[in-house]
Amino acid sequence: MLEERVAIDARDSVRFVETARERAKNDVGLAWLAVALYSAFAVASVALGGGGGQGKFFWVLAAPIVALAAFGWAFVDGRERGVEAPRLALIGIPFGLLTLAFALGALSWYMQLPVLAQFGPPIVVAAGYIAIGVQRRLSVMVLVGFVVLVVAATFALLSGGGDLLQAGLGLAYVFALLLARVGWRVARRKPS
Amino acid sequence: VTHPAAELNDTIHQRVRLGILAVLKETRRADFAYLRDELHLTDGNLSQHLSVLEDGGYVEISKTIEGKKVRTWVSATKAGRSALASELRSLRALLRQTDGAAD
Repeated sequence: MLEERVAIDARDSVRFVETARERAKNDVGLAWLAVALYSAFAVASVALGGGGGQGKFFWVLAAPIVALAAFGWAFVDGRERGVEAPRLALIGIPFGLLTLAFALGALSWYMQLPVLAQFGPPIVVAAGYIAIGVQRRLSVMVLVGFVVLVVAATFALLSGGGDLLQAGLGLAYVFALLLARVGWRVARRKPS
Repeated sequence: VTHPAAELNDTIHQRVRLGILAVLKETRRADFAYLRDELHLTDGNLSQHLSVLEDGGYVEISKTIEGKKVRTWVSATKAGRSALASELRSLRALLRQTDGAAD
């Protein structure tokens, strides 16, 4: 009888902790989305590099601006709600993934392996996000990983399609991410 | 063999304190109002639990002035994070044991 009571109490505590963790994770999720956006832009610019020319230049300029805006938005949004994301992880993870990705890209160019140089960096970043998403049980991160792959591949395939087409695709991508965030927030409001 | 219940930490075993540490584990820091609302507590109740956790060295409390208001921020210490992990391990071991006994 006592054993049963202890088990009920333990199960209740574990469930309570899991729920609290999930909610907190969702509340710092916007900051993760911002850094994922930054990484996606960065690898997309590498994929564009396969075609060379103005497109790459455009994205290299746009990426930091969009990343800063997204991160600033995430920071303000988090503070308004009373919660701050772990900064070390937010800076360290994308920095580590991008360093790895660009190192692979540079090495591949040096070794004259253009296909690996074009597709290697997005694959590294996407695999990193998928792994983090699975480990932290953040489905949005897994989704972002797959989106990075699809976007980079599409950009690479359309690299001969002109800057306007590429810019349009980029805007569509940002819009899709924002939409995902809105959906996430609506889901967050549902009573648990 | 020690019973898993003997491994439970008396200070953080209380459900609300576990909840506070669980929220703080996922964040850099959270403010007082966020914790109060997320865990459905009153100001007094949360203050009491935070004092216990602070005395035990599991959380750190800091205050910032924003505009004309004082904002209280709470973060988990290293001891707090590891105590939460160890407590969850003990609770799961306890559940495995009781579920095994029931089979």
